[in-house]
Amino acid sequence: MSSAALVAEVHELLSREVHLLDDRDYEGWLELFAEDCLYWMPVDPLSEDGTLRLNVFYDDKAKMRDRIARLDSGNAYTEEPISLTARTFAAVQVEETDAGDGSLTARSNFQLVAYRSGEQRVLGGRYLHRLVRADGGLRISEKRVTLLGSDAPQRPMTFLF
Amino acid sequence: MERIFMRTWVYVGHDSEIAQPGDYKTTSIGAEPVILTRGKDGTPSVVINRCSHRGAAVCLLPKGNSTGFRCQFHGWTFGLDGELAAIPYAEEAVDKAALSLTAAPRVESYRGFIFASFNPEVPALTDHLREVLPYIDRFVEHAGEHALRVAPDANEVVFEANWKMQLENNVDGYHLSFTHQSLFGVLQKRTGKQPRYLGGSAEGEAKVEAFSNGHAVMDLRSVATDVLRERLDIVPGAPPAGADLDEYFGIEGGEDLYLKSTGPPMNVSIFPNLNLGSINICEIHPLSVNRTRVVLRPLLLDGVPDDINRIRLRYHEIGSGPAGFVQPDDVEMFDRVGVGLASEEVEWIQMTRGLERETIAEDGHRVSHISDETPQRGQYRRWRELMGAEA
Repeated sequence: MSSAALVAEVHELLSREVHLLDDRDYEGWLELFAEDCLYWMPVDPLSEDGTLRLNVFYDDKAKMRDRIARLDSGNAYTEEPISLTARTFAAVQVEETDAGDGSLTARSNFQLVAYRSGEQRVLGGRYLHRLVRADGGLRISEKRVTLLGSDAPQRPMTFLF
Repeated sequence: MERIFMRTWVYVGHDSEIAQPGDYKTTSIGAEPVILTRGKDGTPSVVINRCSHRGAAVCLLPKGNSTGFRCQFHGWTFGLDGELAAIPYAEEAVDKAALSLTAAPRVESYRGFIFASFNPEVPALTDHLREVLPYIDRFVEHAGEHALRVAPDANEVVFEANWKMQLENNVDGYHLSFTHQSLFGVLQKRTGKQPRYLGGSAEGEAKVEAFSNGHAVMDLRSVATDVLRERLDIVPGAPPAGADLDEYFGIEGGEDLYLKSTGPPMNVSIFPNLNLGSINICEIHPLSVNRTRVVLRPLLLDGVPDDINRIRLRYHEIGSGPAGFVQPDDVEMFDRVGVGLASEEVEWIQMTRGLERETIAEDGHRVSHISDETPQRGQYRRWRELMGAEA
């Protein structure tokens, strides 16, 4: 695959993810991920391996489902009323990994605008997506959200990034 | 903030945060920005983070290691205990002692918990804490001989309400089944069991206690052990179901250490700014009358396989931090109280639950049912005492 086609394919995937999240189509979002996956935000913005560090969240797919079940429950009170979100991403850079199995990494920057109860917040940072080839398409095996200020006092951030 | 935080003992940090000589941590005592340091001789000091010259903060980092502090405005330098070391281009003889950073006159610690006071007249720390000392012991000893140390990172949240909300909440057994209903829903979905604190057969043995000086305890041992065990099952990267846990962790007693990852099922609130609960230290920092910063530091164990500490971190992350399944819902309720208390028409709240059934022990401390507001009344008795005392 040409590099331009690869970048376009990844860009399309990231765009789809953004709209699924902003539409709160949680099930659709989950389907973008491989079964064996990691969705996480380190506390230390420089941390690249969260295994033995504290994270803001560090979810496998089961815990992603828990997170969604909580949002859907009507009893996750920071999301009652629900936060509206609109996010953008840019500066996507795609690299093939050395594994030779078609897996990729995509780095990008994001801005997430969240609105709830009269307050609009802007949260910004960087995404790292690790992508694998499965079922004829790309699946996310890891999504790392590096949030500017993740190590500073934050208001609840219970929407998805 | 002055009448409470400048008059009594205030928690400033854990030994493991300033383990080595030269280690420091920036924190606060009420409105005062302070630095907790470990001197070359191992003695901890607490100094106000304010250059004695023109008032600039001399330390900007949350933690680190240094031989001292240099104000970058005009280059004045200070030792770890705040003593003025040098003034560049000094033109005349100065009284260096009078120009040191202002130090808290009292710094004492108990089992790793370091407290400071700007009131030189406070009683000895162990006297101030006397009735909760056994509970602090139990917290410290929850993993046997393995020493506790704070994780290198902390979860921090900020909320728009008074700091006392966080102190009250730690020993509030009444709110658990309501505020945190969504967590229990997740647990039920995953484990097929209905977790509950109240209404179970062992409920009667759980209790809350209010001690002198505003300290309080919520003892959940009889009701929480199984509920908390279920939380371990939903930890990402948990050992496979049915695994031999000694084998999995590679040490004898691995299963026991694993089960200790939920901490002692007991919460301790040390008035005015320290909550111990689960496996974390919670620092409460008032920012203004209706704005509060909360720092949660999970505790790891010394001398155990990394996998045990990995499980402790994942366990802590389930509930804590701005994206956790527990703490945000508390914060939301604090915020809602902040909104409601803006009413000027309605003056009083109800904090009377258990007034009739609580018992007063011989030493004066009060004991009651887990869901009673006995601890909160104790906290407010202390609050009133300090607010009303002569300046």
